[in-house]
Amino acid sequence: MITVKLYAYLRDNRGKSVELSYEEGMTIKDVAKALNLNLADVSIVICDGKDDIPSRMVDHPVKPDSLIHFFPPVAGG
Amino acid sequence: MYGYMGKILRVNLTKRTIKVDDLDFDLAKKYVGGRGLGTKLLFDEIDPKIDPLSPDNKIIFMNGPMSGTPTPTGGRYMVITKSPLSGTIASSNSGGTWGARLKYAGYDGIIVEGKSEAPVYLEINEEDVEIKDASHVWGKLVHETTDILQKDKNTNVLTIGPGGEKLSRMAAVMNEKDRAAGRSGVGAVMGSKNLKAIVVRGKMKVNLFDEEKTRANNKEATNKLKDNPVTGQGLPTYGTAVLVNVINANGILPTNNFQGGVFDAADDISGETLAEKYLVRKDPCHRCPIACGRYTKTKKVEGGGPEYETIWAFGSDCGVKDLEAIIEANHWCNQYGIDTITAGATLAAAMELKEKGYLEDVDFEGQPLDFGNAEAMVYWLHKMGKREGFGDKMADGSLVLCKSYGREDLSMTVKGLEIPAYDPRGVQGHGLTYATSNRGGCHVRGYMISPEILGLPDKLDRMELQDKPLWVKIFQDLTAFIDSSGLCLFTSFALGADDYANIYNAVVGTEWTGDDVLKAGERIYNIERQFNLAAGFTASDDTLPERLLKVPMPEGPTKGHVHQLDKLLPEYYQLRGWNEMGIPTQERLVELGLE
Repeated sequence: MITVKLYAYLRDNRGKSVELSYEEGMTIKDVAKALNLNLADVSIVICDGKDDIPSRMVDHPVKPDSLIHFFPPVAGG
Repeated sequence: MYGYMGKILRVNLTKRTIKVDDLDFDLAKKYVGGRGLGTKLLFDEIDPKIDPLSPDNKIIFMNGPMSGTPTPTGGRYMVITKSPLSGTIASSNSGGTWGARLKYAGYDGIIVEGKSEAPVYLEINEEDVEIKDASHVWGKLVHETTDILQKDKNTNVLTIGPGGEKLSRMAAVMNEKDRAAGRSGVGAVMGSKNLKAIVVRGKMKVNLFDEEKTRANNKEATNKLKDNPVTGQGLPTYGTAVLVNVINANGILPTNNFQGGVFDAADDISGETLAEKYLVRKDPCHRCPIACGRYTKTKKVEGGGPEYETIWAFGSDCGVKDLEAIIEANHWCNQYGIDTITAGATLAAAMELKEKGYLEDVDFEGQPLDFGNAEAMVYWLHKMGKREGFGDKMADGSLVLCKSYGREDLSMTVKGLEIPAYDPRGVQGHGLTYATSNRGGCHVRGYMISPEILGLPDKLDRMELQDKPLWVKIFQDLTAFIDSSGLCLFTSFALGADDYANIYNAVVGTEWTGDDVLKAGERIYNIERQFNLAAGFTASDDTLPERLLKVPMPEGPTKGHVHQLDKLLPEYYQLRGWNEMGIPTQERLVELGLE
């Protein structure tokens, strides 16, 4: 199973963590779609330790046991 | 004179004299104010080699030109002195309202000299300034002291707690109870002078060069801050602790005194959990539309905070997953007036010393300081605040503690100041800022987490080395300007150098560009460097703890990496116009007007 972790207001109506079934050729774009997640609301994607902005991660391949994090724009210090 | 009040109060506690100096407007513009102007004045007036807790040290409370103006976040001030924790220049920033109130009382800053024979406090009511007996508040906690000295809604109280009185080198200067000029031990310098508090009352206004343009700038800046998803949504909703999860997901949330970078219970101590379970209301600083400040309540305590760094220090760094205990620790740090970062990091260092068998002779009074023991953590925090038992040994920070057991390497410090909540093994640029920060291990002298982790303004590869020295230099220079202006660093998530130039021009009457802003910041950075060099620091101090340079991260997305400082530092020196010894070249000093 693919595990997807969501943070801050991306949790609204989705929860903290969602498990998805893997399908051949799946990418980050497909995962976001399955979660009804608009990537414009996402600031950072981390997939199996690789982190980047959504526009550079949309076609990133997902593995059957991938751990994916979606973060909205957040900051602090 | 616009933006500035034109007056600096000079108080000599040895001679019990009070006088008012005229502000040199040209000097003020050259060093902007706050951090820059305060450092220039301190450097001109003290020998950087002095003992920081001797009467020879001075402590300067300095506003920026935007403090007290209607500019969004315009209320921050700086405390500048020689640090008793690190021996470097100390400039510690605080929000709240006290800084703005000092402008409303008619002063850009206060220079405190000498040492009083007995505890005193300073009461400022515009032109009436008195040195008063503080025996009735000496020994009292910060909240009670504030309540006793607070007279009315036009009064603001800055005070130290028992930490500063007892010369703890991690002591903070507190204002409005829970706002802290937290880092570098500035509260101990007040304590060494027997100065308990500064109470300020005033209702004057700051003159603006172009009121109409300032109004337009303020509207534009406010809109940018509100429209920006970080300053308009993320920070107001969750506070700075919203960072816990993203830092952990990158494997750089320092855990058990930087022995690891992944904390399994990160979500339990996150900003999301804080908002869900303990947040009472937002607690904004003066004129701040962001309102990242938290007011929280548990069964035991209530008050301001905790911030992200505090949650990390008492949380994952101590292996503690109990958010209520972390909130409690934050509360007592504020009450004793000690820095949450150094306090938590010192407890974490003690836990590692115990883990490695160095503390077998210590009487832990039934509260063993083991990683993950929340009750013992809070117990020993109290002891640290009161300087009792083993707490007395911890009260001067992790470096003093670890050195006393011959394990200096277990102190996660740069130049004696504890590194905050991001493991540099997984953020190469940010590690360079730690190594080169003029006050030691500090995250807010060039917040490279912004581009390397958060993608602001652009997303950089966090492990990449190329171009990082240039990014670091620009971030450090811009930050030096912001810290000197009286604005909050968080505005930089939404505003850029050109925005700051426009704001400064309308308030002060200059015709600066964004490049002038950066150049002023570079000048400030270099005068701080010169102070440290004169104090005896060398290029060998621009380093990181050995663990972060030599021991690969053992787990998580950063597994296998160390910080590659040796590959970044030479280019950084070159960009700064410093020679290989880290000393500014004459050519660069002339260029910056520092010859």
